[in-house]
Amino acid sequence: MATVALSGIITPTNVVTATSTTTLTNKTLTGAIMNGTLGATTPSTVVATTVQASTTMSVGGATPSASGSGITFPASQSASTDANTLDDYEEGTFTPRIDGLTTAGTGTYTTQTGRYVKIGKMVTLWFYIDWSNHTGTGSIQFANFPFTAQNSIAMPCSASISNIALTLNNYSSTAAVQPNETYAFPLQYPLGGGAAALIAMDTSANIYCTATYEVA
Amino acid sequence: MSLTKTTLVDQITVTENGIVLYREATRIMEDGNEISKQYHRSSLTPAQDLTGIPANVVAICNTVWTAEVVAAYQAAQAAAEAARNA
Repeated sequence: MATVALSGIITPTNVVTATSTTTLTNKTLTGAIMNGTLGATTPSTVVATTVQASTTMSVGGATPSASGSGITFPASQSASTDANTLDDYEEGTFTPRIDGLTTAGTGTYTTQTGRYVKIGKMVTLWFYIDWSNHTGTGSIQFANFPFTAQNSIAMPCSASISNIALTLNNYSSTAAVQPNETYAFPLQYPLGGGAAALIAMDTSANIYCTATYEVA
Repeated sequence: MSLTKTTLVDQITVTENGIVLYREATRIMEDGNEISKQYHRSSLTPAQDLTGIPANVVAICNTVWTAEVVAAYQAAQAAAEAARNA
């Protein structure tokens, strides 16, 4: 890949102003667009109406992906404390697990499948767990999440639970990701209203869950 | 043209309360050039069974999970449970 010469569009005062679409084909932009830094200088203002790149751009010194078109972030997050800076993107898989709260125990699983997408400090999980036997005791928890949650309040998430034994006249469609942890509790609610309660371990059941939470 | 597939632990993170998070990267290489990469993440809580965990992650866990760290984590879990039941 060639490196596009920016001297023609970067003014001596380091202000980039584009009033029309600029098309850059098969070029690598190094530090000029994404963070406003060109070499050792930092522009005070970057104004661009439209920037087009036909392949990928990278930030943080990452190697631009050879696949598709988009923005490549570093493999390891370079966290920013600035509230307006997007500093991470990652997608992948994980293996969700059922534990007992009192005794974690061991499950016999038919299916353990999970995926995640992390954007900045926000991660969304989608997972499905089906188990035919379990030796854990106490309440059910969904474990082995790929990221620890922010150390604040428990964050509710959506859970579709089937074949779990609930307390009579209760229903459940919610789980709560625990602060500073990598697990969540499914919760049950009395029909007609009332306090949420944990769900006792079930030796055979399955759950679908979507969880979005803030990462520590 | 030669294709190779490698899987290795490329990231290990230890949190303040002793949770160890690690990421396995599976890469497909063609003649030395990466053509595909996939991540799989896992998390381990203090004193968790380490059967089947990659050796370099086990080494980190065994270093980090001192008796004090394990006791503090278990105490925090007990306190959280007490708060939920209150």
